[in-house]
Amino acid sequence: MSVPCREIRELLPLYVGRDLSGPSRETVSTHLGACTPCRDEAEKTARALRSLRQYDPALPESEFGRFFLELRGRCRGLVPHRQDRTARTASVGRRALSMVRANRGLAAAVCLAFTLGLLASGDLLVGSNKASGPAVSSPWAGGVNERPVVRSVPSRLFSPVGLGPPPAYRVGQPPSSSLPENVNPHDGPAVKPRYELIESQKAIAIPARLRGEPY
Amino acid sequence: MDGAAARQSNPRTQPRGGTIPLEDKALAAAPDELTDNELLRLLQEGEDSVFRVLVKRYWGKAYTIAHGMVGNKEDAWDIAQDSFLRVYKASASFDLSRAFHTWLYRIVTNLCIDQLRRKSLARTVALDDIEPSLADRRPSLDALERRELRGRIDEAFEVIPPKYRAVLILRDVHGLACKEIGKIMRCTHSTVRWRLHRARKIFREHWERAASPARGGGA
Repeated sequence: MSVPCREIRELLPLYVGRDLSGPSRETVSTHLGACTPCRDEAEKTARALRSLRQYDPALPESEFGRFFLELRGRCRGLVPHRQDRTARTASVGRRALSMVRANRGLAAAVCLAFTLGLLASGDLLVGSNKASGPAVSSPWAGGVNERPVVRSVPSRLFSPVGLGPPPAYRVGQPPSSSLPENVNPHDGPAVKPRYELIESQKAIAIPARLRGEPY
Repeated sequence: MDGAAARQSNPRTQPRGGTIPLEDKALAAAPDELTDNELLRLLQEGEDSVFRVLVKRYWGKAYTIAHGMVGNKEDAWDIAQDSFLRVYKASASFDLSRAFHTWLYRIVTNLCIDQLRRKSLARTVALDDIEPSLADRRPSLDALERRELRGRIDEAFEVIPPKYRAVLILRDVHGLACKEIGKIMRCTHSTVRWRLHRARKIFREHWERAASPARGGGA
């Protein structure tokens, strides 16, 4: 019926600190009411714990100034928000890099598409591909009623001689009229490609019956 | 209209989740009146001046825990500073739905345990702790008694394992609840109770052992 003193004394540290609850607490209380040795033990434990509550090694308030000054000195140069933001940006960059590494094929395809788009939109192909492309619709192809295509000459054909912006010319027409007077088309390397362009157009687009006709 | 203006200027009436302009907060309430988490939010928003208020509020407690754990003034001072330094550095990532003091005490206890591990669990008592400093030199019996008591408690702490010691300090010196200590120490309620039970038993044994020669000598 009654609980042995040994078991009760095991519970005393928690009982005295009010960390025992429910039936255990009731049991200890009942036992202590009837057992003097256990009550003495409980009193000793309580005395030891009371001394703990007086443990106060805290520094005087006057020390706070020095404490905070030192702390501020150590915090100086640390801007947590900015630092974290930088770290976050770096982590986003790292994440993007790892994603690219994981999908190398896709990244290569995107790069290729981008490069091709750049080439197609720039004037890199104007001198070669575009010149031969629309030759079907040129008057040399036999379409009498078709309007001649007006197109600008690539700037790099003229830029070496420093003559300003390229003039417009009609496909299939001799460009001599559009050339400045002081430039001999047979002399400079800058003008030569222009004639080559025209010649190549003729080679592709001029019908056989008109081929060899001087202009 | 006046009521609306007053509500706008008083941050305590604003919803907690909303963003309140810092100017309004500064005008409406002194930083001392704000709660820990409100101060933390201001710190997260870039108001560095409130950090002083936070430090002032908790430096004594952080120091007391550290002193109880490591047993000397210099290490306790450094650990308290390191703890606030960590708070400052990590304030941006602090979850405002949690209690600040739990976070701070966890940092302090972890730093103390690390420090004790480094020193191979050997608590050192500095000369400065034995000899009273100039500021403490008051011809008062009360102060002498307090210092003697502190020395005896420090000696008893030395024999308690660090994890048990931390629980004992947090519960019996600072009066935290076992649930809170569980959060700080990252352990269950039962573990806290077990450690507390063990720590109290060890402490009581050494307390009585230390007290009995004095009593014997006095008799």
